[in-house]
Parts: sequence; C-alpha cells; structure tokens
Amino acid sequence: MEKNIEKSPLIPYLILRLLLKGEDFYEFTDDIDEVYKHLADDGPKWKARAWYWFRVLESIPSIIMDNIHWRLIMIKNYLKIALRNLQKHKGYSFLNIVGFSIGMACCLLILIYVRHELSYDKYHQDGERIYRIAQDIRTKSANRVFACVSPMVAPTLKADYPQVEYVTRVIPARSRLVKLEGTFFYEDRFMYADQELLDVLTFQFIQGNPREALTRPNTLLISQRMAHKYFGNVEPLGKTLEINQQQYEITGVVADSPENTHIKYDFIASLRTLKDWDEMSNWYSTMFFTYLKIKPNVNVEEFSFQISRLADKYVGEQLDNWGTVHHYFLQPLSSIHLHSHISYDIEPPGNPVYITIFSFVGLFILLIACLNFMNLSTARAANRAKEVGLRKVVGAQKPQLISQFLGESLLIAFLSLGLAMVMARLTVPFLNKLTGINLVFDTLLNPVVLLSLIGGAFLVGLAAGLYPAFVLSAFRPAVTLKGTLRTSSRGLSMRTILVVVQFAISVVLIIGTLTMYKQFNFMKSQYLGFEKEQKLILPLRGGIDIQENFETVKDMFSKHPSIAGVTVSSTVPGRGVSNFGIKLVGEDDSKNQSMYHMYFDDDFIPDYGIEMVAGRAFQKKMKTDFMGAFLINEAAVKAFGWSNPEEALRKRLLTGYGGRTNPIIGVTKDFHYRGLQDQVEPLVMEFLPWSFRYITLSIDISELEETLAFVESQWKAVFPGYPIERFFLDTDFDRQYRADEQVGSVFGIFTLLGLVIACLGLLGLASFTAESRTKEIGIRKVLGASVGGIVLMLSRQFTKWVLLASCIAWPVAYYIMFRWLKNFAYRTNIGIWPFVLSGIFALLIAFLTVSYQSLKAAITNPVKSLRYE
Amino acid sequence: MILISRAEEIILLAVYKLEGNAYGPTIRERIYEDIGHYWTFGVIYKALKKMKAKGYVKKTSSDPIAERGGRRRYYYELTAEGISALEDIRSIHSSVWDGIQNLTFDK
Repeated sequence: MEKNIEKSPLIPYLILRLLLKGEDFYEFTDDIDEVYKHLADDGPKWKARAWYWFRVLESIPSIIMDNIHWRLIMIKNYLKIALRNLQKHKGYSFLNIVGFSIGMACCLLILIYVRHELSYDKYHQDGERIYRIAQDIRTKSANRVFACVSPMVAPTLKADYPQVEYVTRVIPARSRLVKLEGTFFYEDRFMYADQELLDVLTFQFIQGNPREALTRPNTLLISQRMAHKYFGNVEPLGKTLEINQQQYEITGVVADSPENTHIKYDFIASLRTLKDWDEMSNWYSTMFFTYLKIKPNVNVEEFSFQISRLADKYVGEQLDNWGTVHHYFLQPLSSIHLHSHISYDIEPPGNPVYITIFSFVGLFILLIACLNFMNLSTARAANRAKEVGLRKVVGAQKPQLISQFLGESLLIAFLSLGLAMVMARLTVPFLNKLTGINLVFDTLLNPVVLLSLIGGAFLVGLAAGLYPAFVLSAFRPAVTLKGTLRTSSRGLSMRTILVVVQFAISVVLIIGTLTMYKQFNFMKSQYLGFEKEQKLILPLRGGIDIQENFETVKDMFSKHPSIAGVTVSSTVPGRGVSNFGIKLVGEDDSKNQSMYHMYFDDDFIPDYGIEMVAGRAFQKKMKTDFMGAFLINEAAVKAFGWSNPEEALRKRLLTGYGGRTNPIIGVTKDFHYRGLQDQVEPLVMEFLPWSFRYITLSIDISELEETLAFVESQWKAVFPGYPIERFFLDTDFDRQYRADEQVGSVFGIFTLLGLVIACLGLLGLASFTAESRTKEIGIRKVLGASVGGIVLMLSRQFTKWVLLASCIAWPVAYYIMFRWLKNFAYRTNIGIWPFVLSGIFALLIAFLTVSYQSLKAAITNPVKSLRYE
Repeated sequence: MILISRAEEIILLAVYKLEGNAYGPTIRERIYEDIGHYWTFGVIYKALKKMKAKGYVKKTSSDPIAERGGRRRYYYELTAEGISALEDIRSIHSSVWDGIQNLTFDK
C-alpha cells in the first residue's frame, strides 16, 4: 500500500483549510481523501483528481451557509448576554447610554454648525473660478482694506483682461421702502447688479429669462417668497413695484436665497437704473462689490499679479501726486465668509476661530463621554468576572471574549448614536433660536454623512471598548470563580486618571464660560464716552430726506415735556460709519489719511454728553459751522501726529467726500462709535444736512407709553405714508456683541453638558467604590464609626482627584482664554475669580454627586452589609 | 411536536440503514441509492452538524485507521431522539396519506 500513497490536490485542500476549522476540517478532508485514494488506485489519476475538485467546489456554498449559521448563533448569544446585562444593570446602562448619546448629540450639533459655516458659497457653478476683487488703499501713513472697489473696475477688467469671462458689480442697498397699492414694507435684502451677475453666480430661475432679466434700467428680480408676499397667487412677471419712489418692472422670479451665501437677496435691481449717477465714473469711489468669473485654465497667480495695479493705467498720475497706491487683489468666493476679514462687507463675516473652538469643544465632550464609558465598564468588571471565568472554563478563547466585549460597546455606541440623532433633531430649533443661525438638521441625512457617522460611532465604540475588553478578557478563571476578585490597584489608578482628565476638561470649559461672561459684562457696563441710556432712535428709512426741513422736524418732536432733546445725525453709535479720504491743507500729501466720518447737527454733542477736550462743538448761532467746520476726535489728533489737541485748532482739512475745505473748530474726547471689539479710530465730524438718517430723542422713560404715543402721532404728521420704526440706543448698541454672546451661551450649554457627562461617570464610579467597600464600611460602623465620618472617608478620595484636575486645567484655561480675549480691543483682565470659582464649582458638583452614594452606603445597617457576599 | 425536514429525514434514514457504518462517504452513497442522485458533502455535513446540535445524532470517532493514513473516522449513529423523530415523521406520513389510493389529476 505504501507506494500507492497518493497526494490529494493542493488547491481544493487549501480552500477547505480556509473555510473549515478543527474537527470539521479533518472530517471533510479525511473522508474525501479516503474515497479519492480508492479512485486513484482503481482508475485514471486525472479522474480521481477531477472528482476531488468537484466534491470540494460543489460543497463551498453550503459550507459558507453553515459558517454563517453558526456565527449568527454566537452573535445571537452575545447580543442576548449584552441585552441581559443592559437590563440587569439598568442604572449603569442608563448612565452609559445617556452619557454617550449626550456627547454624540453635542458632536452632531457642532457638526451641523461647522458644515454650515464651511458650505458658504460652495453651491455656485464653477465656484473655483469665481473671485471677488478687493483693494487696499495705501498712503504713507495708513493702509485701509476695502471689499468694494470703484465702479470703473468692472468694465476695465472686462476690456483689458482677456482672462475674465464674466464680471459684475453689486451694491447692496438697505432699508428700501417697497410700496404696493397703499401698503408699505421696509426691505433690507435689496441690491443693484449688472446683468452678468446671473452668469457669475448661480441663481435658480423660477420665471423670467436669465439672459436679459437685468439688461434694461428699472428692471427687478424678486425672490420667490417676495413674489408670494407682494403678489400672492397673481402672476408677478411684468407687474411693477414702487421702491423708494421709483417704478420697477419685474422681469423674473428666482428661488429664495440659500442660507449659506454671504450675498443674501430678495430684490435684485438692474444696475443700469443708476446709469445717470455721477458716482458711476468715479475711480476714487469705493462702493461697488465686484465679482468675476475667470476663464478655465487661467493661471490665477499670474492673473492676480497683472490686475494688482489695474487703475494705474487710467489714474496713475493722480494717485502718484497724492502719494496713494491702489492695490487690487482677488478673494476666492467660497473663502469670503470665513477668511475675508474686511470690516465693511455685505454681511458680517463668520469667525473661523469659533469653528476651531467648537470643533475642540465637540471633541472634548466626546472624549469625556468615551472616558466615561471606559470608566463605567471597567468598574463593572467585578460583576462580569464570573461570566468571563465561566466562559473561559467552557472553552472561550481570549480573542472571542475581546470581540464579545467590543461588540457590547459597539452596541451601546450604535444605540447612543440613534438616541443622539433624535436629541440633535429635537434641539436644532432651540439652537437656532439661540444663535440666530438657520441650521438645518436634514443636511445630515445624506448617505455620505450618515455612513461616516456610523463609521464614527464604530470608531468611538471601538476606542471606548478596547481598554475594558482587554481588562475583562484577561481575568484568570481560577481567581474569578473563587469569587475573591478584588479590582487590581492598576485598574483603579487607570480609572483615577480617567476621572481626573474628565474633570480637567470640565474645569477648562467652566473657566472659559466664566471668562466669556465676564468679558460680555465688561463690554456692556463700560462707559462709552457718551450717554447710551434713554435714547430713542427713529431711523429715517425708505429714502426720507430732511435736508431742507430738519429744523422743523426737530421742533415737531421737541414739543413734549418728556423729550429733553432732539438731534439728527447720519448715523448713531453702533450703526456703522463711512470712510473717506482726508487731506491736510498746507501739508504735503504724505499726511493724507482716510478716516471715518459722521455728520450731525449742533445738538448732537450736548445731547449725547460727549466731552470736548479742545475748541468748541457746533453752535447754532455760528452760521459758519453749518457745512463749514470740522470736529475731530483725539484719535485723529494722534493720527495726524499732533502733540496736543490745541494744535488741531489751527489746521484746515479737505474732505474727500464732496471736496470741502474747512477749519477744525474742536476736538472731542474719544467715544466708542463702534463696539468695544474695535479700537476707537480717527473720526471726522461735520454739520452736513444731506446725510441725516437718524433722529435721536433724549427721553424721560417715566411716562414711556404716553411719550411713545406722542412720538408716533408726530411721525404720522411729519412723514405721512412711511411706517414708523424706533429702537433704544442701548439695546441696539449691544447688538454688536450679540454674535459673541450667542457663541458664549452655546459654549455655556456645552460646558454644562460636558459637566453632566463627567458627573454621570463620577456617580457610577462612586457607587462602585461604595459597593466594593460595603464590608469595610459595615465593620467600621460596628466598631463605632459615625455616618459623617464614613461619608467624609468616601468623599476624600474624590476631592483629591478633582483638586488635581483643577490644577492641571488652570494653566491650560488661562492660555486659551488669554488668546480669546485678544480678539477684543477693550478687554477685562482674566483675574483669579474664574479659576477659584471653577474649582469650587467642580468640587461642589463632585461632592454632591458622590455624597448621595456615600450616604447610602454609610447609613446602611451593618448587619445587612456584613451579610453581603 | 417539531417535525424534521425532508432532507433530515433522508439523512437520518441513511444513517439508520448503515447500522453503525455511517460516515461521510457511506452516507453519501446510501443516499444515492435511496434517491438516485448524489448530494454534496457540504450539504450532508451541514445537516448532520445541525442535527447533532438538536440531539438526533451522535458523533463518535474511531481509533486511527491505517487505510486513512492513520487518521480517525467520524461515525454517526441515531440517538433515541433521532429514532423518535423518525417515528413521528412516519406517523405523520401515514396519517396525511391515509385514504389516498391512486393519485390522479382530474380535469
């Protein structure tokens, strides 16, 4: 027989090796080998080999089915044990799942926010070829950046640079009065634009022809919601709307403006409407946002170099005389929202710092939740030790146990993800209200995001489950089954580290929140250099002009005992100031500057309580003050390089806006005409009636109702047909801090959630510690320990940990908050209180969390606890 | 009463008829004789493994056999549960077929 030993074919043998294990494998191969050898002895060898091949190949499907069947049974068993465990230890499971899902929900919300911020202006077709051209105007002493340029830039680009495919100018115009059959509305999202706007940016046309919608003067595109607001179900195309006393023909309806664009629109009027405006040929004006689409395959770097001095060809000589350089540069469209950083833009820009902050907060909270999970799972180890021992005794291998416990943590991770989705969905509206951003939960419901979320939950479950799985599966059955398992000191110290890290993160977050609130309070309570209380502001919107009759208008409103003063101005603090060039008469052009301008009448300085440091304010009896004199602030004195304010009084200025040459008659103390984020910058003030846009009433609010009624009736008499609007200066001024405050409150909420999760972890740990020391506590009580003493003993350990966590957190928090405060020109000092308070707060929370468990353990009857185990 | 499937019935009967000589190849041959075509080894082992878990068959290994290169053979035999499962299926058979003489198809 020896010589007849015939080797079986190798490949099918290896296939079987791959698919079958242990006894199954030997049974299969030995059985068919036996037959194979008979066949090889009796007949041709190839026939036997073919037989062998076929038997293996035809068996593959059922072997695979079989494998799946048995694996499913194992998984079913794991799942059953996992669910039983969840049910049996409802408290732990609750802490685990709730902690995990709160953490995940925070991350989801932050994800929605970050995606929203990053998605700005990414929806336009050929978005990577769309740019905005901006400029910085450099004089010898200053350098100012503008997002908008001269109206001449767009036609020049189109004529001189073949790389440009389309170019459009846009001027946003706020507060338009829209009139339709006797009804009035103020609308803010109004702009003028060239026809090529529709080629540069992407608009979804509902009605009308995108090829010629804005070619003629006085044509208008409206958004769908405006079409509905003004025309209801009537066909809007071809109808007319009166906007600021001008008739517009509606030539198209476009889909509503998406939330994630910095150019939000409701009305787009053709720029041709303004063709007779002298500004339209002015190279020195900076009013037109200019967007361009360059042709494909243009070298952008080269192109932006070519256009950087595009004005020189036309007005280079004049600019040289003035010592000014106009430098142009391109901003990619999709980067404008987050990275433009130009102070005057169509819409206040987003802050990339907040994206970073929130991403970190999200990660931190997720980390806390993961640590929590690890902590609770290892703490529960004692409970699972017997199960592990038994499984090992009946033959479970370590990898099997690891995969079982990993499976359990994955199960919890997926359950938590589901719960987190529900939580996030429910809290999005609340978050929107808080932040004023329109976040949409449904952006998460696309396959890519969902898959990555599931992948993320998988990773989180894996990360959180890995350590407990290894700890649990390493138990030695002999020890655990004897029932004498004490948690090793190594495990305990690991858990201590986890709790310390959790609390350190929480303390950082608490300090962050406290410092933010401190800064916001500081900004609101700081004296601004003018009176902001009890000022009622009436904006003149919709093109109301009081150039001729402002004296009469003022008289009409001052006829009431509660109204102590009436003043008119181009703007009020907090409402934006315009910027124009200023020339110092009799000096060389190197002293030219561009400065902010404000225009008001003779009552403004006294009514607002602004102090003069030199000279005098405008006076009614001085006829020359009217359009014939300047006031400047201290910052301007410094910018011109004068040593003291008195020096300014002998100088004369030439303003770039209107070209008037007049003397400086006074210097005001610096007052905060913008929020405290910004430094007080040089300001030039004039008594210039054609720009008056606001009426300020200094009122006594003791009889507010009656005063408001009076103001309203006077308004109706003076400006019939215009709806009245009014606001109080203090609240309006504080609106500038709203974006930061909203971030602060969201941050506060996340801090609280982080703390809650950390406390859940502590609670679980405390109850575990108390449980495992039941006997010790019983004996101590028998020997005469008091309840208070035992509570103290159990809490002391946690106190130590929290103090350690605070010590780690303080320097980190100091560094982060120091960086954050640098965003503000005027800032509070961090001080010691946030640190002390955060420590006390964390300690208190930890103590309260722990003491419940400690107390429970301490008051248990020792008879009961000694019978335990 | 849980009824076994037709495949299980065929395999159990093959094991029964082989009277102690039931292992992979012999079971396969036996089934071929009974029903006229071969089943794959995979199907047979799979069903046997399940029935072993249910307790219908018992698996024993022989002493090493020189013919097999010193390897063991894995023999199958019916347990009491296996026998009673076959009895059950038989009585079900006879009761459901009771009274039917000639199976005809009437138009």
